[in-house]
Amino acid sequence: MSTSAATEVDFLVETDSGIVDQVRKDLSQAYLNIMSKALQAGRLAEQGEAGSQAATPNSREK
Amino acid sequence: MASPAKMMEVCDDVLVFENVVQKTDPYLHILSPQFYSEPFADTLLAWMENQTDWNLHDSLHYQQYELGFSRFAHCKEIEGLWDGDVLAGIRDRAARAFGVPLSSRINISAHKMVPGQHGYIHTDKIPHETHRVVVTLNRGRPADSGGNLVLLSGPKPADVAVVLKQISNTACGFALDSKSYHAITRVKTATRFTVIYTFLSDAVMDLPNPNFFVAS
Repeated sequence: MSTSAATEVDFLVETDSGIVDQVRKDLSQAYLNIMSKALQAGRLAEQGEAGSQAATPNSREK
Repeated sequence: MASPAKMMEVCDDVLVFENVVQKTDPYLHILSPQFYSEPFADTLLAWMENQTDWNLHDSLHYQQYELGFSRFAHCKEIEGLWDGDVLAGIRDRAARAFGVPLSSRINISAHKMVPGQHGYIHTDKIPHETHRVVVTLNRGRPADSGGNLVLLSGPKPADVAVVLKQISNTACGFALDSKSYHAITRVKTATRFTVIYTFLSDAVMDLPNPNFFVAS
């Protein structure tokens, strides 16, 4: 690989620290959003399960 | 059967993919400053902009519109995309840059991402896929428009190592393994298009998705 070829692709990499910092912040925010949605989905699933158990009589009570 | 000269002409009409450079930080990847010829890049981008037959993939970790080109073999205006000699050129130059042989069996797909969509940090470790080359196509995206391909040294946002600019008709490739963490930041403005070449493993004969093209 020639030095000139290596230099020719350098312009593809973002060097603006403001943009790179923003990328880290965006990914951190995306992580929080995913966790929040996962927790919400977990709660909804638990509620659904609890509701379903309440609606189904226990066989020992028959 | 087309003459060798005619085949070479098709390849030159479609593909540039020269000066492909190998980088090693945060893991081995390749970069190309120009992937397609300018006329073909413009034709392909216009085709994607006018295409309506996209499938939405919407999950917790990523959202994007996808299409596989094997369904569009009747589209003459972009047939150079899956031309056997063009694919051979891509395979050979990518293999040289990666330093490993690559399969002639290549899946070609496209992704479209609109504002709000993103791909969170992940690796693509799929047994029958070995390497991927991603080509960015657009009509100019500002630096703060989101949708950047990001390479990371690990699974956390703090592991960001390389943020790639979205310069149209440039390409990035990497191996699909447990170390190649990458992400697409949330798109903030305008539509982001990419074309994805996935090299399949020659070791796997019984492919779950047989929709691939074959290089000459």
